Amino acid sequence: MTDATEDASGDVTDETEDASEPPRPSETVEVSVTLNGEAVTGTVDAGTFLSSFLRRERYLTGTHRACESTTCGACTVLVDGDPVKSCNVLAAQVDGSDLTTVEGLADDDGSLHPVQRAFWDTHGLQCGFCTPGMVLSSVALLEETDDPSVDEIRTHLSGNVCRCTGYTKIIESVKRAAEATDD
Amino acid sequence: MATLRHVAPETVEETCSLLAEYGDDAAVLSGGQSLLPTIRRRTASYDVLVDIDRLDGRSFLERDGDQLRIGCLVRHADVADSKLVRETVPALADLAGSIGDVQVRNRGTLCGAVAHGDPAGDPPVLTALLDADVVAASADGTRVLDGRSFYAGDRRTALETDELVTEVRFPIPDDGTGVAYEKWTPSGESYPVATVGALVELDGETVSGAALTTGALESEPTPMDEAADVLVGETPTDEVLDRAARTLGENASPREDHEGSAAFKSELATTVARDALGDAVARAREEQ
Repeated sequence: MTDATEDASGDVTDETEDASEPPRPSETVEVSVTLNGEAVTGTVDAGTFLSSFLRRERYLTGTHRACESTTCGACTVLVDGDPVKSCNVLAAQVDGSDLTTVEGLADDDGSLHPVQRAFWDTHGLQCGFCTPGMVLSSVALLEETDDPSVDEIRTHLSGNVCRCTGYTKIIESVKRAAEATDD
Repeated sequence: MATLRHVAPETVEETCSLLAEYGDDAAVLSGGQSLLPTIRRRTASYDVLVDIDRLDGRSFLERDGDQLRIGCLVRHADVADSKLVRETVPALADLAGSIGDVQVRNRGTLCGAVAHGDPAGDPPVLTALLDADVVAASADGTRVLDGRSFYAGDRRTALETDELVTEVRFPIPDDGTGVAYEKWTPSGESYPVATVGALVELDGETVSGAALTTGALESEPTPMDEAADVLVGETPTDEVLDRAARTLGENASPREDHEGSAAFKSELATTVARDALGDAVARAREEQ
């Protein structure tokens, strides 16, 4: 594979590179991604989670951290278009990927993405903490399905927890976004 | 996790060489959906994560004769959405689509879940029920392990520490054989409390063979032969299916925990088994 990197920064320094030798484990990892359309490269500790990379290295604090246990979905981001929980993915694992965070949804002029617009218009939030994850999961759903049923929306959003709304307004928002993008 | 080290080999040979070198200090990282939480909670500790995501040619999902071959980089979402899986081993598509939530299915791999062997994990149940071939590579070569005898307790498998599961091969059921997987979870995305895999083979309207395996109840997938024997030689009426499901519930030895008492889980297992048997019989009839 062409995007694989040979890691020369391992702990064994007196070893010459040889095709038959495996790469050496390294405490730091270079990560190159396309982040909200921009090419970004950074060096992180091997154990850095993607959520920490986004927030601490890239200051993209729209990716919210809460449960830190793959439950709540507030940290959801899109990796190559697919929603994943960034608290449970290492930055090292997304090297070479295309990432979208909530900051990447609106246009440069600040006009909202149709899904954001629908959440705004329908009031699909109360405290707003879960909203970035809800919005990104919904964006991914509408990429797959133009007109999802309520059941499909519920199933698709089951990995995103909201403790305020009771979900009714969130589901209405997704329906409204689907109608808006149909036009 | 400051001292954790990461390495991303590009070949199975490199991976096995690293696993042999670091032994118990290394863990295979594929999707990481089970591994990373254990590291975060400090219920497990490793020095080296061998990240297999860059292995070449390991994302295959294909039919090979009477087997369905699933490479070690195939994710749950790929299995759930695959037309081939839906047509050949539909119970496996159901199972994969029921794991965790969308985000987990987008990262977690089927082979990873087979190798991890969580007692409440879904893929181990069908691996054991269908006696899938678990293909394990090490520096010494490749061996094929029987799914039926692969599990040996809570997260304990027949794998050696230097072995990588490169693929799992599920047998494609013959015509007249129906396989189903059912489970009960306390809430949407959590681990199940009771799971049942059921296989029913019909000859006309008579059950000519049956197998049942439970998961989540005990420390590993558990064959329930006495319950399956209830079906053999019988016409699969509601009464017969009820009796087999009740036998399964009576014979189960669930672990008591915060999810419920052993008696509650036995009742649950009966209900889940009844659902699985109903589905398996319906599928066997469709395939005749």
